[in-house]
Amino acid sequence: MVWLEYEHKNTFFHNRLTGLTKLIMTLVIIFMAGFYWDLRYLGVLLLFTICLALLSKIPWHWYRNLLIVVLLMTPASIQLGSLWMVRSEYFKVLPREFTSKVIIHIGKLPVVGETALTYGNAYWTASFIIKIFISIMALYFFIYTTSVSDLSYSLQKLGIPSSIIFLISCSYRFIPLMLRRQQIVTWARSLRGWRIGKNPIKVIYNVGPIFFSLGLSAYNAVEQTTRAVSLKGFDVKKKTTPIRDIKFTYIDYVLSLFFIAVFAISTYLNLVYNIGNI
Amino acid sequence: MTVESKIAVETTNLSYISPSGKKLLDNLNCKISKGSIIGILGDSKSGKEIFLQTLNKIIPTFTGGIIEGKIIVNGLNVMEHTVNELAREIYTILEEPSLQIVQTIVYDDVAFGPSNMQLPTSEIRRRVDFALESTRLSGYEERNCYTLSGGEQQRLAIAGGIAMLPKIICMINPFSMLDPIGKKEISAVISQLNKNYNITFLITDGGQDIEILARLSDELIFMDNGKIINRGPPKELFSGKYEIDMRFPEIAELFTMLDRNITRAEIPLSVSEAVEFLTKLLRGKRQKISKTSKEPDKISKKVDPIITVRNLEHTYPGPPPVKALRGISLDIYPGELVAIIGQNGGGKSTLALHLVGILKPTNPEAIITVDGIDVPNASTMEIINHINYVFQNPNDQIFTEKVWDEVAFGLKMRGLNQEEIRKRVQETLRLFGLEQYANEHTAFLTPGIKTLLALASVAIMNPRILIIDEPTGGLDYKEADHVLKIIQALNETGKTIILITHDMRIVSKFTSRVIVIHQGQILLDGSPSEVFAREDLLKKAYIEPPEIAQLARELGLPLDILTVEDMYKYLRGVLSWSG
Repeated sequence: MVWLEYEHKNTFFHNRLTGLTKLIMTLVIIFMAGFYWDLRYLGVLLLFTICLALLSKIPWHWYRNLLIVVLLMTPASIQLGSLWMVRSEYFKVLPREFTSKVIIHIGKLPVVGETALTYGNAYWTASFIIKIFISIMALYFFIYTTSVSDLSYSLQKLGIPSSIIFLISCSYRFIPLMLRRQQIVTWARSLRGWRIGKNPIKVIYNVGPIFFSLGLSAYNAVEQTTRAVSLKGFDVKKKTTPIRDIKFTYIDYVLSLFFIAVFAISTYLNLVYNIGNI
Repeated sequence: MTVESKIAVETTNLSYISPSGKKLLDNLNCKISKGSIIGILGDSKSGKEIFLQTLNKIIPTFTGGIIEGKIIVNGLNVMEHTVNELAREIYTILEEPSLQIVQTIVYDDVAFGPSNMQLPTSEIRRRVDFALESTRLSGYEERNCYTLSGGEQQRLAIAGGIAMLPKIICMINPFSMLDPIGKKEISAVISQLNKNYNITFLITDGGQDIEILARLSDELIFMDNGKIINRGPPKELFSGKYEIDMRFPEIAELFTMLDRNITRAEIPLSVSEAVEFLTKLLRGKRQKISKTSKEPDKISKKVDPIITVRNLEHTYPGPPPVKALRGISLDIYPGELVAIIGQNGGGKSTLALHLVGILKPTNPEAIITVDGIDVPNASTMEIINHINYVFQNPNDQIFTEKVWDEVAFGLKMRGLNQEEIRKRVQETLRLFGLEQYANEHTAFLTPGIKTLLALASVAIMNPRILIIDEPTGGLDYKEADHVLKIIQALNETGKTIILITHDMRIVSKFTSRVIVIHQGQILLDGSPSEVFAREDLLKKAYIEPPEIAQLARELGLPLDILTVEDMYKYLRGVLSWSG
């Protein structure tokens, strides 16, 4: 089952846009999700990102994995919100009486002192989780619709040195490669009676060898990929011919300029008028 | 006026000393003419792969070590250029295809090399189409490279090399993972590229596919311990005049045996040459015997099957969804040694993974019963007491540092006491001939030893049924024979063995039953002689009978003649020789 890798599909985003446009769109979404804390703005951004993901026909199991990631991060986010964001001075836009209203009083903790979960914390935590959601969805959109060759070509167009392009391209295909490898290794282990167990110390003891094995595989894969791209004459001419005949059309110009403009305006409004802040 | 050299590769006193100080190539002096096809044969320690990898500087660039002597490739001094710069002149297809994939989509991966050469997009498309068609990958353009089977990935790696149209192509054991027709097609592509584009080919093999190489090559080079031992045209080298430490091609082997009784001008290497010669020899004598003394193997169906599969279907979710198994039903009986054969990507490994419970049927009505266990509903711990699976690539299985620990792992997981583990590990190491490696680091073992280790580490758990996926892939013929003897010994102890293989020689020599899978369905099921008699159906599954079986069919001899020994015995009987 494919996860975190490009899949050829017949969608507008797969076939009509260059990697560069998709890269701009993704970066703008991630940056905006980065500086917005206001749930209303984040909500709009979230809806927009969901639409992008649906239109690019991202398989359903990608969302399931995203939910798992978000669920795993939630306790940490709540903890972070409760322990560090407890002070109401942090909030510049939301009214203090709202943000400082206590939901659960935790008590005095070493180092951080008096701790409680307030409405401010809850708001912050919700925003934080949605930010993660949006960023991952935007990355999903980019990864699922952009092949390694499109990505390399886009980066080349941006004037990025080929050695850096190589590094980025390698990492781009490295994760799915390792995920597949991890699946086979886990199968092979389980057929020899290996199981993770429930005891946390045993879990570490049992999982250790897998990471050791995957580490060796990762090292091997990097070395072999370097060898493989060298054999195919990578970097001799510094530039390559685009493999896919995707030209930078007016749609690319329109979308890229639109996203850059939205980014510029929202950044200005955020910095000058605190729009999107809490 | 400059005169173009006719030499593609020239090495002078070429030696390679590895970082650990071992001399792996020893003073090689070798000239390869442009436009020739050279087969390089030897065992896994012969240095043949190292030799090829020095020609485009993969060694020592990525391995370290010291190169001594001189290497000239198409007039270029290799040591003065980088691997990347040499790519236009010489391309090497490495043995492990999955690691040679640099893109996620088939089309992009094949186009990667030409794109680096900055060819026009139209030319890239032309080359990619040609390379994909030549390797039977047309229609796969938009497939994800990592969802291809091992054999398909190998064809993809070859396509990537073809698309670059370099002047020299080196191929390291290129046939090892291909189905029989795939091997034939790739050899036809090699001949075509050699003829049309004058590309020089250097191809290594450990003896497993010597038949193909002997017919394809202008010259063969035999290597041993980093040295060239023999070199010459195949017919001359297999004439019996030379001491060659290598399996002979089946037809040549037969004629070397026959040489005691007949005289002939030159040794035949192909079925057609053998037919021509033997037709004359057998004229008027064939009708005397209509059957060999060997009866076709019968499968005992008096006992209950140990494996029962009914209506098994599996569809990989995709996108697009791939229907890998389409209603498989079969019975396997205790003590059988069964081969599962079929084209690359035909569903063999998917079926095997269902038998051990790793994959679950996608149709709820499917039945998989193994040794009384309802596999889809049983736990892995329960299943592995009865059946286990040895993966195609031993590196997927081996993960501990020492050989001893690797063999002991399964028993440790079962919680056996130290003394019991020690006793059983010792016994298993002895059975598999691995005692001397007990304390060695698993990363530094040869492919043959790794395969044995993977097998030993599963066999020690003593399942009644063992599925072994491509046990001889990537091994030289000596290693392969050793592994097969061990498998046969396991079968003789009463274990049911299921072999997934592309090697028809193994099927004819070692197994009692063959199941042919084609596009997720069982196409044929019977004894090797029954299956190999159905050449019409076999072609559909990209299978070709072993050469001796083809020879028997061409000559109109009994179809249960499958091996060189069978044929020799038959001919001896018909022609009334005493020797």
